[in-house]
Amino acid sequence: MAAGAFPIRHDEIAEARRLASRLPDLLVAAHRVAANAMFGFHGRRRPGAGETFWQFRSYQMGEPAKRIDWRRSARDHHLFVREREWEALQTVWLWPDLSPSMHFRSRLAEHEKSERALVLVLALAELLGRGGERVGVPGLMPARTGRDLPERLAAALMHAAEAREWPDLTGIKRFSEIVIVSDFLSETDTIHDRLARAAERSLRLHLLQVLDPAEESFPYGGRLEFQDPETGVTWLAERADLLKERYHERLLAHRQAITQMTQRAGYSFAVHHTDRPASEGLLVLQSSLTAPVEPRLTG
Amino acid sequence: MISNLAFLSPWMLAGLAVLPLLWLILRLTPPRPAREVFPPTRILMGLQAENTTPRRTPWWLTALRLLLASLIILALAEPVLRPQAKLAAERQGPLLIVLDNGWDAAPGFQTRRDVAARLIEEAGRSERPVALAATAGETNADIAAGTATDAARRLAAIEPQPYRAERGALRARLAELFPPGSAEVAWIGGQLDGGDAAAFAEALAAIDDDPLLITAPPALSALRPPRNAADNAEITVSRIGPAEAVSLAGFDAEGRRMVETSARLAANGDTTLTIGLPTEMRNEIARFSIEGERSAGAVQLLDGRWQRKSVGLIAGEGGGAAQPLLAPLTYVERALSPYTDIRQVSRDTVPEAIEELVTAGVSVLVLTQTGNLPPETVERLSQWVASGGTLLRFASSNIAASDTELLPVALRQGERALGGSLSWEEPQPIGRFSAQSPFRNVAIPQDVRIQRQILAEPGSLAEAETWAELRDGTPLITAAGQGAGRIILFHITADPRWSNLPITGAFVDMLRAVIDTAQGAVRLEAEGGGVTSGATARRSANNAPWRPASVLDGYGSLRPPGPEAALVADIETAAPGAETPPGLYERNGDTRALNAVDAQTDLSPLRPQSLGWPGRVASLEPQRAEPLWPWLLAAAAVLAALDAIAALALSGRLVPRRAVATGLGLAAILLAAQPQGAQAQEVAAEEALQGTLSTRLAYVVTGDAVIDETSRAGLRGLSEYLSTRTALEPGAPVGLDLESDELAFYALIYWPVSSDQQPPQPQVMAKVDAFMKNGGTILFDTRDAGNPMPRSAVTATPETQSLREILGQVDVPPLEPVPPDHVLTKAFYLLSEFPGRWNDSELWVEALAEQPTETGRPARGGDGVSPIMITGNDLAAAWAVSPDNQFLYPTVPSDPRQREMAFRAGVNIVMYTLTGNYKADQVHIPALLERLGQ
Repeated sequence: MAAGAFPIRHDEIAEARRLASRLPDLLVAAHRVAANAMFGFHGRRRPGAGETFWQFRSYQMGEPAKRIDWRRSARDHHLFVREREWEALQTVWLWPDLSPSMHFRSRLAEHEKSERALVLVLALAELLGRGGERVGVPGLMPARTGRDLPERLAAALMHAAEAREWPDLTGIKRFSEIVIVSDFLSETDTIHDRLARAAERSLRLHLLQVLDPAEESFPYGGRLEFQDPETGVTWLAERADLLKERYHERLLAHRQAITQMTQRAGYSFAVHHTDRPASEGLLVLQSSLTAPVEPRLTG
Repeated sequence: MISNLAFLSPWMLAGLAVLPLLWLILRLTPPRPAREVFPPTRILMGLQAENTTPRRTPWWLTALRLLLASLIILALAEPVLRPQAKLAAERQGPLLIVLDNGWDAAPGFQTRRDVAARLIEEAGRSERPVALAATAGETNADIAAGTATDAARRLAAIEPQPYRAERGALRARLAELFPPGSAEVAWIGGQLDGGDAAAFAEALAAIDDDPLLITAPPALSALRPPRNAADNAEITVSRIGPAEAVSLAGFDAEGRRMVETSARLAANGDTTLTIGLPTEMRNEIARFSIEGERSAGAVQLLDGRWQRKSVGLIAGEGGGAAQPLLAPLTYVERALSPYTDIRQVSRDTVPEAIEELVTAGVSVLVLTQTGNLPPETVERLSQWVASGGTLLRFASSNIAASDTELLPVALRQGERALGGSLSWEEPQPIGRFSAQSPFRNVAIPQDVRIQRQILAEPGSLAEAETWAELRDGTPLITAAGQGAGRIILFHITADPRWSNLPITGAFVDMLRAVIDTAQGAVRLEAEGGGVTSGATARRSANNAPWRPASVLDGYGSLRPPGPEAALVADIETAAPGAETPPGLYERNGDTRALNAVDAQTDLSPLRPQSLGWPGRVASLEPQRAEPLWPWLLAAAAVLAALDAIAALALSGRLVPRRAVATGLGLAAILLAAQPQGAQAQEVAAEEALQGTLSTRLAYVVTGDAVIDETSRAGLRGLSEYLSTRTALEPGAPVGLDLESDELAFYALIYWPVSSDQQPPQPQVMAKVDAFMKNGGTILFDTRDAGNPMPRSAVTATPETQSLREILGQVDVPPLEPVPPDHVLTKAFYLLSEFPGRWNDSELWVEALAEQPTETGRPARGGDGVSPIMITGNDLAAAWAVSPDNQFLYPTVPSDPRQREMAFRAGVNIVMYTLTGNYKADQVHIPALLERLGQ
């Protein structure tokens, strides 16, 4: 570990303060991002008990007559029944990775990865809250409904004792949806273990890998000493520009391994870069949450 | 070359010994890599296998840094390059050094001395005998060849002398001492030829067939004696060499600066400067000198003759003080007292009073109502007049009967009464002042009527000058020279009884003019036995010699006289020399100044060509030691920058994009310092389009921001006026840089002349000349019509002077003020004058040829457009409008009509330049219409 290279990264109080000072801005950003995504996604995409109109269908003999939508039927020679979309409350757990490796920003991006992760999580919380879902943070905030979910979530994150990379999943009910926004740069073995444990509990995981564009394109050259912010380990590259191709191969292989693991478990996995708009990431999360999930537990 | 390289701090070179150590250190410490925080470092690990050798500094970086270090060490040792060639030829035998040390050598005498010292040193090194001769002073000095040490010692004692080099005397001595071929000759020349240089050069050539002349292009300013004119002092400065701006200062006797003026001297010629100063202050001035020019020739000492004149007033019988306003000389005294010293007389009788005044040294003596004077007194007065006094007499009833000697003309008995009850004739006004008289600048008073006058015998008028006469041609004021002085007679009394002239303002002007022509104090020695002793009067100049009070040295400073300054018997004929150095000489309380340069001094420069110099010529200018270390330091700085870039590149900190941006920025800065020749072509084409696509007015950019802005705003205002009132819609006015811009696109160029403008280079003026010859018109505006300075041929405003300098280089046709029938007055509007901000100046154009066959035509145009127009009315200021169409300058007087007229004048000028004599042809319209049958 390089002594004193980035001491502030390891000072938790300072870190918490930094986060707290950034949170109001991020909340605003999250509101703005969420404002563009308006529809709720807790609908089950099938007819059922609910409030929202789903479809008209022809009246079938034997159905109670009170189901007939007379207004619609009067316009035609057939009888129609108004069907509503089936709605059910759902619990979604959100987890932004705020570990030191997420506090990274290259000159190619405007925001740190952790900021982007927070924005995405808060915006998602707002969307879900607007849709009436129950939202929680594992270990920090019990699942609840409400319109002030982003603020509560931000407060909970602010009071977190330590920034952990992976949530504590004990105590979470089966078949809950868990959204994890992280860079997933840990060893593939570690990730495999974590996914396997989640799969045992029949949790539905949605993983979003947030990467800085520099981590993708490796725009370095010359003689460089690289430092790992998690461990502080340094590594000297004599000609960094020569490493680009092989680094990229390795990164892709790493991602491929995660993709395979998630596919096998039936989880969603997507990649988001901090130089892209946050709404893109939100869209990805939204669609993976609303997609019908067919968990294959035989992972 | 190498031998000319020297180090000022050679011990710094020891630092070079450290270089190997530095090399070792540099080689072993490669540049530190940059550190990047990079989360996926784990993925990177183990990627590089083939490239793990520990880095050393690349050899070229080490070399670069070693070079940098050695450059700095070399620079600290301060190397200088001295391209010093030997002056003297490598010959045997004695070396004869001739050093000019007249006052013309005083500016830069140290250089001359240094060159002489170098020559002596060179000769001393090769153990040659050296002879040193100075051309001014030291007529007895030993000029035989001696050792170099002796010569160096003698050289240290040679100072520039306040008089000119006396080469003639030296030539004879040299010819005695040095037979032909006996010595090598080096002549360190002064700046002036002095008339004896050619003969001297011949003599030197006789001693050595290949003599060396060391000289520099002459650059010398010398003051001619100043003239105390009517209301200013006129000083002529002679300039030898290129034109130069000098500052001229006047000092009083205590050395306090009284007045200062600056002027630009024309190259190789005389420039007359005018210093306007009240008479009282002018009289205080004791010395004029050119600031910064340290030579005796740049100083003019002034003496009593320069100073304020004193006037003695003597009235004969009836001059009582009972009725002061009727006292005969009251009006003379009142008129003169502001400008002169009126000497009071303590004696009662006229002869005693006259004797007192002439011995006290008055310059003007006013006599009236004196009847017959004693013959001794008449003789004294004659002597006094002959030695320079001015006797001013007024007529009285008894004058015709008095002495005839002290009158300019013979007078007829009795006086002529005009307009009396027994006379047919009306009182006469003054007819004219003679052009030769001092009154030529006095306006003829219209309200003066002469009722009585004394008439002169017509036959005697031929010998005298008639300065003023009445309308019927009878003389009113006559004058006659007598010796060095002059007798002036007013044919009327000094009181208002005979005429009302004494109570007019013209009387004051006339008396002042008389006083201004008078010489300074003229003094006769008191006679031993008093006035009436009958002893023969003598001019006192003959017995006592003039004693030098203080003398000038060669540099033009006053100092007590040295032992060589002798008493001078006749100061008038004394020429500056070793025994009569320039300075102030005294005798009996009278002071005379002897100056190094007088009005006649020949100031032709000393040039090898004009001498027919047979030998070599070397430059006097010292060859400067060229310091090399700034270049070394600059090179080191460049290397340091390269090293920084290399270090950045090696450590990976150099971001290519940013580096390119920085490089581009640096290149841009470097390019900005380059002359923009590359763009000139495009700009010229662009400008040609701009200038030709629409008619545009143009002005000359003078470099003075205020004037240029006024010109621009003025031409913009005129352009707008033209667009409103005429069919011409000019484009935006354009400022022209005469040196670089093409003039051919413009028909009219407005050229405001400013006083501090440098006259353009000859090639620029050639361009302007070609423009004018090819049909262009330049409107010069001296903008000085508001200047209260009186205008005459001699006194010109600074603007006019610089206009003269400008026009001196071009071919100017004869000019005339716009005549009433000139087509300019009818080109668009009917105008009679061309006002601008002022309305005092004429507009001058090329004079039209007389066309006798076409008399009666209402307009004459000539065959083209006048290539030049000159005005002083500051036209642009009258036209100038601000962007929100407010006028920028008031007209003087503030009259809207004058502004309108100024615009109309501008319209006419533009129309005239664009249409030429077209309007003049319009007079034929009736005939044409008739011919067309309309």
